[in-house]
Amino acid sequence: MNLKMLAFALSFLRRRLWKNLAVFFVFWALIFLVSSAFLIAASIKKELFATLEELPQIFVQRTIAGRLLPSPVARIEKIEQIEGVEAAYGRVWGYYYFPAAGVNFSIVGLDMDMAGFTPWMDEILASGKEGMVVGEGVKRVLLSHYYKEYFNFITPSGDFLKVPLVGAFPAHTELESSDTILLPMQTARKIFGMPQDQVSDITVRVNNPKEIATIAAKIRVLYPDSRVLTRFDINAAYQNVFDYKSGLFLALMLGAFFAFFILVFEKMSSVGKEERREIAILKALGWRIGDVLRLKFLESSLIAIFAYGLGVVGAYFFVYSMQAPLLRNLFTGFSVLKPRFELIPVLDIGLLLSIFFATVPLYLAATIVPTWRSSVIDPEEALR
Amino acid sequence: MFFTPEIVISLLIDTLSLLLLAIAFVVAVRILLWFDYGSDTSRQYALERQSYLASTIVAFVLAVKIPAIFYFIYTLDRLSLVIPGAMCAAGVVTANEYGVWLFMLKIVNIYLFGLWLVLHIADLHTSNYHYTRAKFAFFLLIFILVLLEFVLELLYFGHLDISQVVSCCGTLFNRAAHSPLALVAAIDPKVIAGAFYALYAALLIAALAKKEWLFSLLSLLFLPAATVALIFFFSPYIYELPTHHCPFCILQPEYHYIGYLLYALLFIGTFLGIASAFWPKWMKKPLNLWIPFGFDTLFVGIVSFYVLYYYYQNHVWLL
Repeated sequence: MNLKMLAFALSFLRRRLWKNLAVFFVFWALIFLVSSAFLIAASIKKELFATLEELPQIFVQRTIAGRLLPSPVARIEKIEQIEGVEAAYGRVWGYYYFPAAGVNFSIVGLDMDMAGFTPWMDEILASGKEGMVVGEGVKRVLLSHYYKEYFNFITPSGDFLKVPLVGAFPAHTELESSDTILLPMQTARKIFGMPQDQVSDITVRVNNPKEIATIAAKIRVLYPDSRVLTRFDINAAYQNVFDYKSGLFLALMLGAFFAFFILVFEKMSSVGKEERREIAILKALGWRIGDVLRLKFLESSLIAIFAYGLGVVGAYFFVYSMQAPLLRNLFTGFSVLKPRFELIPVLDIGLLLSIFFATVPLYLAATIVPTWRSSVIDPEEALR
Repeated sequence: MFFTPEIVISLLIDTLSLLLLAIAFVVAVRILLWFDYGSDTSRQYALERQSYLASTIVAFVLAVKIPAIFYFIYTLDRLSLVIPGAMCAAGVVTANEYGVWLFMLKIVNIYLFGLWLVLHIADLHTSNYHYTRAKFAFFLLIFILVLLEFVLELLYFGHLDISQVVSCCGTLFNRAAHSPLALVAAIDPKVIAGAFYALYAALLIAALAKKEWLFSLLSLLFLPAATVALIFFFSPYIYELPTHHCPFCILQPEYHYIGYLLYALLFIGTFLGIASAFWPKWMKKPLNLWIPFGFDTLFVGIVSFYVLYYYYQNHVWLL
């Protein structure tokens, strides 16, 4: 294959500009759609994994009849006695339904004696104000219901509990924290009506990450009624959810792929009179079937390469510059407290390969039979 | 059955290939039944044209399948993030009984496709389609194997249970384990390495003596020998860990994806080596035995470099 052949193929393409542009555009759109979906899923996954790094290594929850129940505080001390456990903490957290807006807030109680979460948290704690710190989404909802400085929680006994709003936390990882309210543990207990000797669940910190699996197993033996989750479990679960979503998206796209296959097949099969003459002249000049096949295949490859390149570039622009309007809802789900997060750019060779293998062989495969058909034209018949 | 984009794409590629090959299969059967160079019927003329379609299809499928096998390995490697217990593709391949067979069949099929292509080129160089019937008979065998590969792939992905714990390569290639490779593992790794280098030296001699058949046979032996040597002798040096024997972990980013390069060199080198015996003598350019030998040398050079580099750094041998 030489450059003259390439120039010849380009001139062939230019002569049937509109037919080729139509195929090119449809193929481009297909690549664009697949790439966009993959990029969104990859970005969300990256964002989730970034936050996963900061999670505790092990979570211990108590279940009865498959339902989560608060754990007794005494268990914390027992777990701390296991070799290799650096520390175990009880957490008080849960959901609070705010009927006026029809949303659930995630309420997380914090042990205010324990410093060192993040700098902004320490800052708010240092100011000495007692109250709650909320995520961006919660702040928006509260403001739209005219709660500017405080919020009235209704406790299980029916009393009002007025909690001042002391701040909102920055939104760099909004996906997980948009619907969150952080407040002192005692306040959280009052909101949930949870007694002092109970916690929602227990988190465990382990010094040596290689011991996590063993320690999790020991806790399972110690408390058979507990559900023990490690960070790896959560990691794998997230991976599953997003692989499943993008895999399902692709599977649903298979219909479109099939339609595209037929379209290309049809377009390529309709060899015009003009084109038949051109091929016939080439063959009369001494071109063999193999040469015509090579030329036609070069044409298809040119379309495929350009469509792939422009499709992927277009998808990057759509996803990261425009933040993928419409399409991202497919992956983030819909809710009033929907986080307004930025998709983090991902550049993964595996991802680009996946897009390539999902689309380019399909296109080239669709061109083989029509290409062959036009290459075996009988010059004598066509020129007559 | 579990949907990850990689599985869907792998299945898509293989379905496409199979559909195209089915067309080639019909052509092959017709050619085997009626192809006769001496006849001048319109059917014979049509068959000659159709043989171009079939060979274009086979060439295309081969061109897709070579990168696709690396993509398949990548798919398995990605799945190891999801399947509990698996730390690399080794655990994923052995997750059910079909995996190992599927993997081996995929590699065998690529070699067969390549050999078919060599036969096809030879056929084009004859003036009377001398090998046409032979190559399409050979294609029937390939088609059956590809069909089997497709069925195995469906079974493999269909039975892939992502909640079931699988073994990590640490157990699979452990000397104490009852794995199919345990028999090989019992051999002293120094002996394996010795055999590997001896085979390489034999390749050199065969290349010097220009004995294509010997070179081809040795290349056929070199492929399994290199794989075994990689697992039991070289991989501990690549991982810098005496207990780590695995042919798949080298594909991971921690080792700079060196495995993809190594396997590419090994496959190209041994394929051209095996093909050298079938390369027709009277073709314009006979296959230079130094080309496959060059690929083999690069492979040997890279794996040996790891050993020497480790010794240079730490002044001890690992095995």
